Amino acid sequence: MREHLDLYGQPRPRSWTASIPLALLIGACVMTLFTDHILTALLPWVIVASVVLYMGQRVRQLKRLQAQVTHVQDLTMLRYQDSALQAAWPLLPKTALMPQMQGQVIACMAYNLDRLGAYDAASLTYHFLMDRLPPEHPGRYQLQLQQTQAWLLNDELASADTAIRQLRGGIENLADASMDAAYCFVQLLQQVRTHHFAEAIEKAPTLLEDLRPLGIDAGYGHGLMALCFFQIAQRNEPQRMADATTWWTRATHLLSPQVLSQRFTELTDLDTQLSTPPAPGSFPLDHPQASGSPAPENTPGMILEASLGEVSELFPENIPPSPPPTSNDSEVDA
Amino acid sequence: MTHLKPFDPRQLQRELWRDRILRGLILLGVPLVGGGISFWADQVQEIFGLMMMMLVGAWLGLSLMNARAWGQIANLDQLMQQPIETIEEQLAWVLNRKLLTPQVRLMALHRLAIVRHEQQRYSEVIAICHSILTRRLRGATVVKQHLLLMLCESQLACKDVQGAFLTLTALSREPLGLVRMLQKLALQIRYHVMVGHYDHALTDIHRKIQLVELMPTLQCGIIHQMLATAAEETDKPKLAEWLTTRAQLLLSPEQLEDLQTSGNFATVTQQPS
Repeated sequence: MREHLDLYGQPRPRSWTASIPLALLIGACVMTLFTDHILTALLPWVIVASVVLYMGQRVRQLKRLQAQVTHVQDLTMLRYQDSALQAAWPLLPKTALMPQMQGQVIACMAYNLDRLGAYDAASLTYHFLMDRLPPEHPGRYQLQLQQTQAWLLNDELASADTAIRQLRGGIENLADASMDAAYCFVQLLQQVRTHHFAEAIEKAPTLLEDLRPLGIDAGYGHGLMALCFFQIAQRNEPQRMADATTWWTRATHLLSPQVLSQRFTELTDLDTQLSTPPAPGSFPLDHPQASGSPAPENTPGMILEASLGEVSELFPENIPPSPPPTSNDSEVDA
Repeated sequence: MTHLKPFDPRQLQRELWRDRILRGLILLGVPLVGGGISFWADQVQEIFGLMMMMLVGAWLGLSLMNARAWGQIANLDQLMQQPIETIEEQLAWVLNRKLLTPQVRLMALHRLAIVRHEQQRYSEVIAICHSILTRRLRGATVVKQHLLLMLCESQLACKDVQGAFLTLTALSREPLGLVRMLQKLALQIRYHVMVGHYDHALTDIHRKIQLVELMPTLQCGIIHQMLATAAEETDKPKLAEWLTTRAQLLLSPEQLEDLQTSGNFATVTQQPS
């Protein structure tokens, strides 16, 4: 990974060849002043036409590249980590002249490596990206939080501890709810990894609110809190088992037990230990994607296309619209 | 300090014609004047070259002027980070300029639609979006999709379900990327719940839930709550309970209350780059 990043990850400076079309255009304009022969009269037009054709070709090439980067981002969003990485790898050298696009590709690579459990490589890639950002850039904090999480999952507790302490001030100054939530989650993960369960459960009363900006991913935090209560209950306070069950129910409402244990191995046995009643509508979580791995018979591309197609089909064009509601009551009814 | 006038489609039409005529006059007039001077000075041999140079010069001058105007508002992320007054000032500066190409003027209006959408001035958003969409947006597919999404959301906010239906139909014909598709899905669900097509809202619920989970937290919670309403209405209590619990985990009590009382919420948040 380091080799690939060192080779292709640095944005290449624009070479002098990039200014050739402009120079040719200026040359063509000047040539029109000296038209004393049929050839010198035609030549500027030939040059202009060639430059226009070349530029059109270049624009099409850039659009294709942008589409490829978007495809990588879509695969990452849809959690097809393997395929996203495979698509991102050859894109790195191709985007060397476009730093922003290259940054997007590297960010996707880092995230996917992290999700695949390649924490060393992910941490390295996060670090590589951070080096490219200015010191006070908000994106730096986000990357640092993700790197810290990767360290914690890789049992690099000392590095993580230093990073968490360094991050505190910067995150507070940002006043960004999602960043605060991510920081809160990293702290919780650290407490779990260092077995400070009693310290972790002190945050329980506000944790639901604190983690809310993480959305569905807040389920990981709820799962970790369930583990903390479970550990405390196992040691000396059996009455804490009810709290553990409550937090585990919350976690499994957002994420399936398989997804939870895939990311955090310590949660593996929690599902069997905490005898929660089955969530009433837990069926959507039985789907292969929610459990973290796509159905084997479908390639990710197929699934992506299918989902795009099906969602387009969800709105059949032949349904006539209902007449507009005439009063507030009918709106409420609708 | 320049101010933005309320949007008027007829005014836009006049401005587009004015710009077109002025640009045409400059592009024709400058080379002709140059040629005339050259002819008057008995330099007939260089007349064609000089006219070409002057045409290119005039074209470059106009392009630079347009580029300067566009540069003020091109970076959408940077633009939207500023206070609304500053954005309005910048937009007024651009829109009050003459000699703009239709593309730059329409793109500036797209920015204005975003600002008005943020301010929840939905009727103005609808007027702007309609005005832009009826004209040719060369190579600006992403902008067209974003305009359609904003238009649909504004129509839903104004309870214009017929208009929203037509806009959603137009969106169905667009080759949408994943993010845009998620936004369209949110609007579809909102439309179905609004007009009482609860069964349609719950069609293929497995796949829908998977896609809804990819949305930002607020939108994800709102759609869960809407689907819960649809499930209640179609007598699916277990599904309704599951969806409601999820919505309660994703939204704060205040957000849930806002949703139930006002019914106005943003389903289209992400802007094109």
